[in-house]
Amino acid sequence: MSMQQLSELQQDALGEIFNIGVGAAADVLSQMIGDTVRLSVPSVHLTNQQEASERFLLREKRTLCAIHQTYTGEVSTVAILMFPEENSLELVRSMVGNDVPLEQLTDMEQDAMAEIGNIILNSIISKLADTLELSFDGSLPSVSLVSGHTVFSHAEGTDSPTSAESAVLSLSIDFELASRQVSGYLAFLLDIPSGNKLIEKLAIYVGEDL
Amino acid sequence: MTSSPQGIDKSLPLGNDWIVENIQRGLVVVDSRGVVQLFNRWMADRSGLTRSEVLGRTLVDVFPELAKGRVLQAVANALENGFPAALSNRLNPAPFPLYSNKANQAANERIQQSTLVQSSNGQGKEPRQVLLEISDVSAAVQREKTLIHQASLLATLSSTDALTGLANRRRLDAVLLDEFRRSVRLKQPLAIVLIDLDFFKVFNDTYGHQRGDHCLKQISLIMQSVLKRSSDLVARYGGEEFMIVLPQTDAQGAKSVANTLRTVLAEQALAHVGNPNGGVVTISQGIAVLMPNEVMTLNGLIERADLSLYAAKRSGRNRIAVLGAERDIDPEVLAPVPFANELLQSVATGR
Repeated sequence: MSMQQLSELQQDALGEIFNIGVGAAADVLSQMIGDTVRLSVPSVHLTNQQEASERFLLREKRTLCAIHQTYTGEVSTVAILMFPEENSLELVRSMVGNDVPLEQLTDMEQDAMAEIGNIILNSIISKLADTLELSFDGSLPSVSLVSGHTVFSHAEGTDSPTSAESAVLSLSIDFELASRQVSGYLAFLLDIPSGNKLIEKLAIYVGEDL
Repeated sequence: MTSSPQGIDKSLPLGNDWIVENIQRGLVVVDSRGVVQLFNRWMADRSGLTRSEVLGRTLVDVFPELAKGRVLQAVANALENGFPAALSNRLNPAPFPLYSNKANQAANERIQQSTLVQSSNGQGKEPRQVLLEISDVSAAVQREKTLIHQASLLATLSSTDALTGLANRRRLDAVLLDEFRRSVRLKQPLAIVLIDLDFFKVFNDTYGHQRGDHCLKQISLIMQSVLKRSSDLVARYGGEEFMIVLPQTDAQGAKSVANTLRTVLAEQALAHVGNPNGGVVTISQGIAVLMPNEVMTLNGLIERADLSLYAAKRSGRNRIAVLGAERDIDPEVLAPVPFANELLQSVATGR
């Protein structure tokens, strides 16, 4: 089936919601580490799993640190925030100010990544909920180290949509802290009813409802 | 067998209360007003607080220090929007004053914690409650500390020159590449100084290799003492050759470091009878500088330092020569000062 498209207005509205959401998360992270953290979402696309995979994941050869969280409600989604492992190392270690000579994320560092992801995802979903008048229940975050091509199939949410045509809200996310820049990728997997509902809510919000 | 599919034996003491009391992690339930409604035995044992001291009071009243950290924020968020939070040990090592025993409490060594915050399903019906689940991750933290310690030991060993304790060639190559890239990116100057001990072969022939090694160690200490900034690096480049890396430093700054090094070494007046330059240990130094906006490779920079060093040696050793910018063709050789006492005088008079 063909994907629904976002209008320009809807696209802009989503971009703004996500940027406000990550802005709030950046405030929390800044407070935690006592240093300025800036977060921004340069682009948002509504696409499908296959396209999102091709665009962001298949050419990524590095191991990814992926943080999953499931949100359920009128719109249900499996959110996956991903950073190449080396970026995650840089992120965690700039946050805790630790010069650890290990090339892999330790268990404790993976937990820290789960917390960072949890803060970001909760902020975004909470902003989305407020703006579009949706309500969600959230799961606890889980973290795993995966390769790019197994990220979506690895999303262990019990009712996660896994077909290639399923909708994905896909965005890149940029971190700036301790004069370093770290980029990650964020995907919200949506089943068909959820995708439709989200577009409907967005249309109402931007005043495009028919 | 109780696990047979015949049904659940309700006479077993495995009720919820029994589980809450015996589970090996902390459980705290807070209601929508932030008042503590449940505080299990694990928490009571490790906080030294009795249930009657805790139940009915707000969480922040019981643990005032939570007001500063993220726990209370996570509880407030969970109450407000129902979203759970995972507070990692790395970012929140020990938010609750919990101790595994009296001795640890006296030493103020808290249990290392990892905390989960979940709310009961709200969906607008009953007021939400929040469950805090606190795990003792002290053992894992300790394991990781050991691992990190061992890894840093290994990293130090594999990046240090065994004789002098300076950075070795491997470390130098890595740092040099980093600093070179950073200088190009930030458009800042980068200076390197290549250093060679004058007539060191003669020194070894005269005094033997053990004294030779000792001399290398002494020179290494002097070089380290001359560098002031943490970003500066001195490394053993090979044999009796050393390299100093000076980020954000131009030719003037590098000359000043080289001059100081020469002065301090002269003051030590380490005997080297085979050295025609005053019978003391002297060094030749070749400086090369990458200037902002200059187009050069790292190898190019090192070659220039080599050229400078060669010029310093050719002009009689115990000298500093500089290739400051790309347009320089011949290294500039600085005031040759053949004898230690004359050198000191020239420094004193500012020549």
